[in-house]
Amino acid sequence: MNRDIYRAAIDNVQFSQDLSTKVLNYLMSQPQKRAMTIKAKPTIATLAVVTCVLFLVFCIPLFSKGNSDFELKNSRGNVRVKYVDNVPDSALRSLSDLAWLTEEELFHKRNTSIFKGTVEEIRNIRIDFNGSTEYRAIAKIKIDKVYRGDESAGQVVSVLLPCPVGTGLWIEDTDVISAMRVGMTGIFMPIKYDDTSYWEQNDTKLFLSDIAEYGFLDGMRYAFLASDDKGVIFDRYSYPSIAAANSLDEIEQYVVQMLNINR
Amino acid sequence: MNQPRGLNEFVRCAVEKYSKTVAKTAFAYLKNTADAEDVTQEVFLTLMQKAPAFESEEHLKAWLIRVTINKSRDFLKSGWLKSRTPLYEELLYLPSEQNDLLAAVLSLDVKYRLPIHLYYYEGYSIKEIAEILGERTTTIGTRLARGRKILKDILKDKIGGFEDE
Repeated sequence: MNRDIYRAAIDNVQFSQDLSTKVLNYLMSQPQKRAMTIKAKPTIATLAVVTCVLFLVFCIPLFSKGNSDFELKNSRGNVRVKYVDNVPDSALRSLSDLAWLTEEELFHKRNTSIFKGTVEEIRNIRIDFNGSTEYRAIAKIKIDKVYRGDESAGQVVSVLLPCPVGTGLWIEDTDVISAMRVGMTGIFMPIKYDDTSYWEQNDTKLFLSDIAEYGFLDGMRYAFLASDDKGVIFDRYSYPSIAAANSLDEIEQYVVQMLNINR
Repeated sequence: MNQPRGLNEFVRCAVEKYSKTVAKTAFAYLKNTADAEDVTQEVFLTLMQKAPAFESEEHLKAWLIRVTINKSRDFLKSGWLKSRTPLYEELLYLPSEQNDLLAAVLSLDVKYRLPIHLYYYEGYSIKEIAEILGERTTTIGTRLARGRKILKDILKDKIGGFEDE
């Protein structure tokens, strides 16, 4: 029934009376201007700029071939990983797979480590899979308290984030991780990488443990971040039973409760 | 009369058949009709200039919708929004039931309202929506479920949102 109401509403939205004529008239007014732009001869300055850009695009990767900030001892193929300061606008994809999971499943379907800690460092990285590039980040988190896992308080772990951080770009399905900043305390639920944790792309195979010890399964549901102005940042829709939580203490109580359920 | 370069019969037919589809998709993204019509013009201009080859009508329609979404996103980023009319004024002429539901859908984050629009208005499957938006099927399924839930919360005292289908 409500599908019909929505359809009727959209059908009743009032556009210009003869929209198709308006569009056709617009198209007919455009080609002359566009044709002139295409046919305009490039100036010497334009050619110089284009030449420089082409040089930068094609030649710099050649000079930096083989230059990687990580040893990648287990990975295969022409793959390189470097720390970067700048992330281009093209880094807008997230590889997260937001399959619907209940709160129980979020805690128990995968054997994540769960700990409270403080973010000590975040650095963006560029992964070059034989010419195909992806951007992510690596966070160093100092563990204060362990709820599940073999970690210990005081340990500093490296965690691969599913998106670059602090760039001002919004990447879909990474709202929580994108908010992470150095100095934040939070409760984190990453998966520890092993030899089944790899990323294959463009005829290369990157073993994730070559660049970080842990990683988040997605950018939304596996971190709870304490924020001065927002209370706690987390995916409230995935955790409806604590959707109103405003402190990390409330989250901690919830985490302990969820872990005790299956004992 | 010389026909302007590129405005051939194919483009003319596409405009007549799909201009409303494109405008409605742009409206779902931009939430106002004036900007939606501007984007519609740009979408068909791209069709005329690029002249891609299509395997079928469905392929053409999916391509138009994908370009519409990209152009709408660029339009928002450019800040070149024409209309400053509040949304509720734009929809005042609708019957209240339609107004309530449409306003609720348009209040959703675009990542929820686009799948809802493509699913409930255009009748695309989750798999087809995932292909159009360049997302995983599971992601679109989750977003549809979340969008429905948010709508249910918004509209609980009114018309109840969308049923799970």
